[in-house]
Amino acid sequence: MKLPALLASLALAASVTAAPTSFDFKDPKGVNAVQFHLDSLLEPIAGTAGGVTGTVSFDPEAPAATTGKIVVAASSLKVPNSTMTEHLLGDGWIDAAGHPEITFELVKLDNVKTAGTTTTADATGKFTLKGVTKDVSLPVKLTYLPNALEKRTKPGNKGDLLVVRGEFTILRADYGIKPGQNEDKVANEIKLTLAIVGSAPKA
Amino acid sequence: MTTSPPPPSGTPAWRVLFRMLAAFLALFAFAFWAAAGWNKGWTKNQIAIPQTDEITGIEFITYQDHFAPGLELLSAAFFFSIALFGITFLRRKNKS
Repeated sequence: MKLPALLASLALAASVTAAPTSFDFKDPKGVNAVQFHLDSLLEPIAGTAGGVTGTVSFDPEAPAATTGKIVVAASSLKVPNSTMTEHLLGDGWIDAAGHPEITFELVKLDNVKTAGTTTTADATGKFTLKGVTKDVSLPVKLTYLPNALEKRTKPGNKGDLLVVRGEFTILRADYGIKPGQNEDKVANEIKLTLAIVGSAPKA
Repeated sequence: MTTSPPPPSGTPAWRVLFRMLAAFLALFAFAFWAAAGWNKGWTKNQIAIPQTDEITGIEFITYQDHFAPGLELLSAAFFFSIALFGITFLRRKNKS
């Protein structure tokens, strides 16, 4: 067998057996955050949760097989008013001490469409907040950025990036957060917006 | 020759002082609230500054320390001013 043909065969074999890449979502630049918005008496309350960790296993050749779990530290929830943040983290609301993690575990992706490096899909997963787990569905957009880790970190740091974007709405009462209380002051509906990046360094 | 006591003035001094204090408090609170950014929402200790990550395009939030009194603080100051002003109209009950 000639050398080019051999190399082509090896490349084909490698691509067939290529395993999905694991992306780590603990971002060294501190960009990752989940933003939350809820209506209230004077104005909508907007805040962020910056303590994002977790891994997503993604194969650009088979995005439908994506799996993963994103974890948010409950204590990282923050709004621009420190007193309000204290209340938010307290027993009556999030109970960050008793339930330190907010998680989303991906179960499956449906309606997967890929165009270039961008994949859109309907994600179904298990969302856990304050110890209550419920199934949620949300549209997600996955952007695969091959060899972009170096641009974002430091020269010589080879690797890929995966950007995950999504948005969904929950009802706080469903998760035992003051069900039926203070809804005239703070809305029951909370909109969560996810825009996070994971990195997969190459050896 | 006897000296007669001075005639009672129209409004006791403490009432005038309290009314001036109430007016000053209301004006100061309004001026402070307006100067600090005319914030018609809740009081904030920090302000959110949106930024964009160049490589990924992710919009993220950073916070900067900045005190912006909200409508609830302004309302509390006005309420206190009105209460202070109202006190000046209280009359002691005459014991018969």
